[in-house]
Amino acid sequence: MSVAEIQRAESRGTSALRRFLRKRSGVAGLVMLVVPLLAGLCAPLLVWIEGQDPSTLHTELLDPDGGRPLGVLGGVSADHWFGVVPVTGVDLFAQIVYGIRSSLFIAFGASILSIVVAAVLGTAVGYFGGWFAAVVGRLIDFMFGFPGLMFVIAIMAIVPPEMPRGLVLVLVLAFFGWTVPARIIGAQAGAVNARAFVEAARATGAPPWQIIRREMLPHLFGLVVVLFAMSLPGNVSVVAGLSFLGVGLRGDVPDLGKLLSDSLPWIYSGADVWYMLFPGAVVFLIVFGATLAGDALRDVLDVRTEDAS
Amino acid sequence: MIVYVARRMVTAVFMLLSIAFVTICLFFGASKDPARAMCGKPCPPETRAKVSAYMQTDQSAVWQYVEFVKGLFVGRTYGTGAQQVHCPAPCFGYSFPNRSDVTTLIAERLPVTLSLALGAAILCLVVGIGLGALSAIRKGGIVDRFSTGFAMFGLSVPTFLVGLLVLQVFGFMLNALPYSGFVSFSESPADWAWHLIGPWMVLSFILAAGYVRVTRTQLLNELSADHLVAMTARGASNRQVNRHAVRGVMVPVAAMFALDVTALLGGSVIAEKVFSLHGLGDLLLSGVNESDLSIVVGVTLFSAFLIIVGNLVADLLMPLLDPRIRRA
Repeated sequence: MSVAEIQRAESRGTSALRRFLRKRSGVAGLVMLVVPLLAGLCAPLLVWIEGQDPSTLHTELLDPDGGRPLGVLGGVSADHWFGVVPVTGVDLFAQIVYGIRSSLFIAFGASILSIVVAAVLGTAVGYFGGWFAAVVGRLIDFMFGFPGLMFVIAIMAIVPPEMPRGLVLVLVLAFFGWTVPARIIGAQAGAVNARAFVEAARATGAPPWQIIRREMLPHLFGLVVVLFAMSLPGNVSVVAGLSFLGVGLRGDVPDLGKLLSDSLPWIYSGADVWYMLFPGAVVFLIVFGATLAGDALRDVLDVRTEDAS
Repeated sequence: MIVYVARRMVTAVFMLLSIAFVTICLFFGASKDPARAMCGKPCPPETRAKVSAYMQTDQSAVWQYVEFVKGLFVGRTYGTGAQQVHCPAPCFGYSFPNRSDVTTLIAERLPVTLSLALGAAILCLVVGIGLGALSAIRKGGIVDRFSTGFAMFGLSVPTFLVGLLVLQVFGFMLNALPYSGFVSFSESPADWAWHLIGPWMVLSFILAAGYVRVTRTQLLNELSADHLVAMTARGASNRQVNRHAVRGVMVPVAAMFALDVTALLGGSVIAEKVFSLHGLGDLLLSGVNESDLSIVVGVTLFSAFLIIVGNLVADLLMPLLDPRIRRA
C-alpha cells in the first residue's frame, strides 16, 4: 500500500465530511435543522434575551373585541419577535422555542431507540439467517398489519395520567419505527455476511461476536447513520401531528403541534393567520432540513436504502 | 397458483386474528375500568360491578377476545331482560355512551373515509407514476428536475402542514374551494368531488412523492436492462420498448401501494381534522376524547381489517403482473 493510499484510508471519515459539505442541498438542510435545534437547546437564554417568558399573559396587546393580537404580523414587535398568541397574549416566540425542545427531544429519542433496535436485530438476522431471519421477517410483516397512526392515537388514549406522555410517545414511535430499518439492515448484513472476508474470518476460528463487531459492523455503520437521519423527519412530523390531533403532549408543556392545532379556528375565521405561519414554518424547516440532510448523507456515504423485500 | 392464493388468504386471516388479540389484550387489559366512566358519580362499588358485568368488561382479556371474534360472526348480546341490547353481526363492539353498536357508527362514517382514500389513491397513482415516468424518459430535463424537487417536498412535509396551507390558500385567500363539509356521492357526484378536491390534493401530494421516486428509478433500471437494449438494437419502436419496460415497473409500484394503505388511512385522520370531515379518523378521535374504549378498539381493528384486505388484494394481483410469482 502506498503512502497516499494509507492516508486516504485513514481520512475516510474526514473525506466523507468534506464531500457532505460540498453538497449544497445537504448543507442547506443541515442549517435548517441545526438552527431550530440550537434555538430549542438555548430556549431559556433566547427567551431571556427577548425579555419574555412562555407563560406571562399580555392581554393589553390584544383587541378587546375577539382577542385578536393588535398590530401587524400577529403583533410582531421588538418585544415580541413572533407576535403573541390570540386570546391569551402569551409570547409566541417563547412558546415556539420551548416547543422545539419537547418535540425534538421526543423525535430524537424515538429515532435513536428504533435504529438501535433495528441495528441489533438486522445484524443478527444477517449473521444467523435461517429460522431466526424467518421469525423476524414474519414479525415485521405482522407489524405492517397494524394501522400505524390510528393505533398510536388509540394507545395515547389509554395512557394512564400518571405516566409521562413524552416517554410513552418515544416508546410507541420506536415500537413502530424499527421495522423498515431492520429489514433494510438485515438484507445488507446478509450480503456482507456472504462476502469472502467474513468467510475468511470464520475460517480462522473467530468467535461470532468478533466477526459481527470487526468484520460486519464497519460495513453497516454508514447505512445505520443514514437510516437514523432518514427516520428523524418522519418522527418529528408524527410528534407534531399527534399534538395537532390533540392526543400528543398534554398540559401546559409548550408544543409545536399544539400551537398549530390551536391556530385552526384562527385560520378558519381568517383573523390571525400568523399564529399558524410561525410555528408552521419552524416545523417545516426542521422536517425539510432533516430530509435534505439525510438525503445528502445517503449520497455521500453511498448506501442503498431501498427495501430489499 | 391455488396454493399461493390459499396461503395468502390463510396468512391474512391469521394476521387479523393476532392483531385483534394484541389490541384487545392491550386495551381491555391495560386501561382503567371502562365501567367507571359509565356509572356516573357517585359510583358505589356494587353499582360499578353491575355496570361492569353489563358491559362485559369484568371478564379477562382473553375471554373478551373470544367474545369479540364470536361477535363478528354471530353478533353479541349485552345484559338481560328490559336492559338487553343486541349488537348484530358483524359486531365491532357496543358503544354504551352513544347507545349504538360500533358497526353502525363505522358504517355511518365509512363513506367519507372511503371517498377520501380512494380519490386520493387514484390521484396520487396518476400523478406519481406519470411524473416518475416522464422524468425517467427525459432524464435530466425540466420535468425531471421539477419532480425530483416535488418528491423531496412531498416526502418530508407533514400532512397537516400541507393541509393547513391548502386550506388557507385555496379555501380562504382565493375562496376557490370549500373548506369543510361532505356531500354524499349519491346526492350529487359533482358536489361530492367539489368538496373533496382539497383533501384529495393534500393526501395525494404527500403520497405521490414515493411513486415518483420508485417509478423513475425502476423505469431507468428497466430501460437500461439488456433485453430492452437488445430490443432497441433490433429496431423495435420506442412504443414497443416502453410497453415492455412498464411491466417491470408495475410490480414494485403495486407492492408499495399495498403498504401505503396504512399511510392513506393515517393521512385521512389528519385530513379529516383539517377539513372538518366526519370520517373514521374523526370517530376514533371522538372515541379517544370521550374515553369510549369500544369505539377506539372497534375503529382500530376495522382499520387493521382494511389494511390487511388491501395487502391481500395486492398479493393476489402480484402473480397477474409478474409470471415468476405465478410459477414459484
